Amino acid sequence: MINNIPQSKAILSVVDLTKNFGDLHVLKGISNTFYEGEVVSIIGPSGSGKSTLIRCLNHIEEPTSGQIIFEGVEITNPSTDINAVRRDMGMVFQNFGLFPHLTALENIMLAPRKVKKQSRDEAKNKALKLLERVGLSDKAENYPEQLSGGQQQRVAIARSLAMQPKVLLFDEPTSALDPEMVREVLDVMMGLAKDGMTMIVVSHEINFIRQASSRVLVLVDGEIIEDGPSEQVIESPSHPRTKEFLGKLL
Amino acid sequence: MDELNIRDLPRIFFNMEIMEGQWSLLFSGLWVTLEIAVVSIVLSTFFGLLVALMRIGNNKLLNALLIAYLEFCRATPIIVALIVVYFGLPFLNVTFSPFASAVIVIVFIHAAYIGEAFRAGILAISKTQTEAARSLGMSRLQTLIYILIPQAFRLVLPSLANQWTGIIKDTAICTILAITELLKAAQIISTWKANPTPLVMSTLLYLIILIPLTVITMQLEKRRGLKK
Repeated sequence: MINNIPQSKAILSVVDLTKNFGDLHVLKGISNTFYEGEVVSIIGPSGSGKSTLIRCLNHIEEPTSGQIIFEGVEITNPSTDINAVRRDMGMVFQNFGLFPHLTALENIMLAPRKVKKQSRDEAKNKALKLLERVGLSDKAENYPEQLSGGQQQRVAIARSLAMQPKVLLFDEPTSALDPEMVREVLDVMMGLAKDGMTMIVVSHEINFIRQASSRVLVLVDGEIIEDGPSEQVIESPSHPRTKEFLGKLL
Repeated sequence: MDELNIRDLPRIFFNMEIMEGQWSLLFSGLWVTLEIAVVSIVLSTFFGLLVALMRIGNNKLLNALLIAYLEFCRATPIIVALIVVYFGLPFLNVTFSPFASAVIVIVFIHAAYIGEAFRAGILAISKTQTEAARSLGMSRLQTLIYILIPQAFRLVLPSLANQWTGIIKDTAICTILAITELLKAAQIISTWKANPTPLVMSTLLYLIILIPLTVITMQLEKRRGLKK
């Protein structure tokens, strides 16, 4: 394990969060606190609300009730400037979400230029460094469709990093990838974990959880049924539903 | 003419002697047609995009008004709209020049269709695109300008090109006004010479303007296919 459970300050808190889609109660009162430098994995059977939870954290999905507090700012408050909050909270999607009309380099440069008002040269230099970091220096001028899935996801990670976020959210970052491409994306994510990036990851990649994740949340039917250090949750789960789920996974 | 004979066809429809000394009138008509077409294409594309953006804004009242506008445009023959604007509005003390009347009517009608095309294009873009842009801290407006509109343009280019072609042909409604555009010029010569050759020639000129438009669109589509 790279990270130990940090004794650092809380960066993101969720208080009694619920989300309904019509009559369907997807999240039933989630509360949790995420700390600086932590890498938290969220696991659970499909339909348990993992994606909904992580999408609520940066308000891409609007919660039905409850509070989300990021660095002391309640982002569930309608008067909060959500765009300002999102600058500090990156998100990586299952389906990459690269902008198809822009090159890899332009994908990374766009938000720093338009949102952070960086100069073209500054944004470009930083973007090139980020491409190097994810091992894609030679793909700067390629369009997304000219890249493999793994390469696209690495560009998407670089694009999030370009905003220098304080937290990175990953929504099943490897589940749309062919098996041979999972490794290259996980390697980049493990590198980030090593560098101390605060990460919240919805993923079933047991190797990533074992090697890089400090804590695991188990979500079943919209509730957190288990929350503990990765090793403990993976090796000796206490809740029978966790055992059952991990049994299918391992 | 007692009997129609195919041997008379060139003499009647492709009689170049008729055209002698008349080309300058026809070309000045072509120039007017181009002026109306370019102004109308630019404006109706702009307003069409605006209509689409208002439509996807999901304001119920605005949407109802826009749907009414769209249905109105679908049902109204463009020439009737022109008669209302040019001959009717002066009764309300609103007077437009023939050129302005033509542009107003063409833009009004075609913006509705172009708006529908753009709306379909924007709605066809994956939701992840908006989510990705917003999660980077981009505002709604920035997401529209930098992410959705450029992609929508590529998606709707073929139907846009169709609309633009339609606009060029609709400039011919000006024949009912005091504008000597291409078709009117051809009609004048044709009536004077009592021969349809000028009309045939005007058709060839329409074709000559439309071909570059088609070629440019195909080029853009090819680029889009590569980049997408």
